[in-house]
Amino acid sequence: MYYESSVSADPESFPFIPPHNPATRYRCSTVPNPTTDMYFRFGPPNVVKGRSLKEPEQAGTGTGFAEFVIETLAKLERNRQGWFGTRKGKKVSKKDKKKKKKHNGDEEKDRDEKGNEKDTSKTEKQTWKDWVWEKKQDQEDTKEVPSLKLQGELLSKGPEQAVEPEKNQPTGHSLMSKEEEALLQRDISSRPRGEEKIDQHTGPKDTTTMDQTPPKPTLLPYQLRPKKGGIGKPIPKPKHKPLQSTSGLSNSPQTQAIHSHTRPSFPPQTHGLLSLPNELLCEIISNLDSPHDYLSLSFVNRRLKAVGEVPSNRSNFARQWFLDNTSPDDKYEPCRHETSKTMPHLPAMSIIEFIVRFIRRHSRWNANCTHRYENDTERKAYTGPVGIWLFYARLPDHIGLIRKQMALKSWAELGPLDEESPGELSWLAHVWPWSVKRRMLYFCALEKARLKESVTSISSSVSKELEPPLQDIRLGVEDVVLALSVLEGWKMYKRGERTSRYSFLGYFWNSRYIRDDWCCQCGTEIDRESRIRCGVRALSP
Amino acid sequence: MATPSTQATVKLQSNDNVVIEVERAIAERSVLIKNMLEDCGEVTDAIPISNVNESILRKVIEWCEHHKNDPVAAENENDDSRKKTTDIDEWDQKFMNVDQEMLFEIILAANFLDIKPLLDTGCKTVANMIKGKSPEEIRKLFNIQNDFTPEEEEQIRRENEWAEDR
Repeated sequence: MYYESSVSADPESFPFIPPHNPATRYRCSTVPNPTTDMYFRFGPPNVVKGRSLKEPEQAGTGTGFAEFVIETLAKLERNRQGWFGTRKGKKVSKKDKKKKKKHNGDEEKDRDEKGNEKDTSKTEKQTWKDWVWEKKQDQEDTKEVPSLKLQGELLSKGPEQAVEPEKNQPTGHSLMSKEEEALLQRDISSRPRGEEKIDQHTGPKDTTTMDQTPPKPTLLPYQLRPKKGGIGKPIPKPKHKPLQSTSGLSNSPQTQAIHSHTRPSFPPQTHGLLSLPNELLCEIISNLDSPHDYLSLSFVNRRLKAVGEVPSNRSNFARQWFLDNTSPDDKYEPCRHETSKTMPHLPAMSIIEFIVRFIRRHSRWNANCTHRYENDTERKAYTGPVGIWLFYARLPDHIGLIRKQMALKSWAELGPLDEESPGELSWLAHVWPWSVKRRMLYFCALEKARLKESVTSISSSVSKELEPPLQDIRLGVEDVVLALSVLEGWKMYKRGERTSRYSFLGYFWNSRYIRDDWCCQCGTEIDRESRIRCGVRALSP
Repeated sequence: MATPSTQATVKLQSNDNVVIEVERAIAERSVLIKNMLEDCGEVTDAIPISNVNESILRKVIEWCEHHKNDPVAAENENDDSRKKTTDIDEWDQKFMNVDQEMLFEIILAANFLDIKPLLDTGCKTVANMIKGKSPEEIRKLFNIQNDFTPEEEEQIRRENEWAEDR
């Protein structure tokens, strides 16, 4: 956009301030462009058409202003020859600068020889000195760390702007004057902080050129470094990778958050419980004192659970527990090893162990244990003095699931299993102080344990032979829980804490009576027809 | 088979190349060393104990010195003759009163050297440490991470509901 002006126009009417043009709003004052200066001051140079600068007399109609313009333009044109720097965005190399220096020196000499140009040469000399001084200052600035004040101000703006200049990254801002620095600072400080952060990486907008071309991103002063080929080139990327880049993903806050979720919260231990091999874990688990400790250890983690579920570990633990908790001493009456009076050839068994084995043996839906005295008369003859049916357990073996549950429930209730045998399990109520629900859950746990044993043991899962006698039944943790409960009941009884469930009858009369006189030795008894009278078959599929 | 030697001492070399000279009777508390000496006869060189470092080896030798007069259990002895879980000698209790890392290293060394009484003592010590503790307390005691999902924990709790004292 040009402002056409005639030579007759009043100079006051010319706009001294150019209209708003973002591309030309800021200009580098260290590289003045007289042509553009004049352009903005007085309009485009072609206002005087057809006139040569060497012919001022023919320039116009003789108005003083026109002559002034022409003379000024001529001076400025000569001055322009003495200036070099950026022109229309082109950077001038040092070689060009030297050439221009020579050229200007020649011109100076020429001009010195001309007398009529003496006045202008003085101003040119002054300008030239100024330029040399500025140039020296620029060179000194590039040797030192330049614009510390500006950097300090930038650094003080916040941590996101605090980019420290490294030693190998000397910076230079020699092309910026103090006014422009102030302007730049004002510009930066006027931006929001979020934009400042972005500008640190992308560089500020180019506001220092007069070009009409789209502004290129200009580096901040501390991002410039001097080079032989010229100053103001951007810092090349470092050849070495930053340390963070090698593990950047793992150190990022997002991934650290993920790792903190999955990473164990405990410090790693070289020799801990889990560093032991499974065989030693089995050894430890078999040395535990209580079934509750065994179950607690099994619930710690998956590996310990797997170790605790091994049938051999469970049976070893049970065997060890009964060894630890049986004694020939009289004061441990329910735990005392005693030989059956009627069957002295059989191994001794404590009352507690007998109770546990008896329950485990018969708490099966396919158990078929019959008393050796088949008729009621014989049975009654062997009834105890208090009239309690001591022993007759029979679980039907021809039942489906519903019947099985009913049978187990009847067992759990310790009630009659059929109409013909009322109260045959009532004696257990004295030594088995559990609720019906807990007994049912206990039966389920036994079934599960049996199932695992049958899976691990090929013979028991394939054959349908009778299980071994009572004394040879392999016990598990479940039996130890029951045994411990019975033992606790006996201790309560001994302390005088009598309840309806814990009675002398249950512990000392019935149990021993069953064990010694009515000894149920499942699998060893045969009837008159040489049939096994009392037996429990393996679980059929 | 080599003839039985009358060697008085043997040298044991730990995995950090420290040689310790001990009486043969003490060293023979270890079934491994005993069998090795019986098979090889007289051994002048140090016997490398590759899985045991110096501090643990010295600790094991200390235990063997204290128990050198104990009757050696028969190889096919019935397990039923074992002592109760809580039965640990007072000296052994003090001997095992070490930090967890050393305790488990002693157990590993006893397993490697085949010293059954020492292994039993170590296992009983660990068992006594677990005594009366809940699963969470055991996790804290041994720095074990709970790797069960909440659903698994709930299922385990349901399965073992019968075992709870009520």
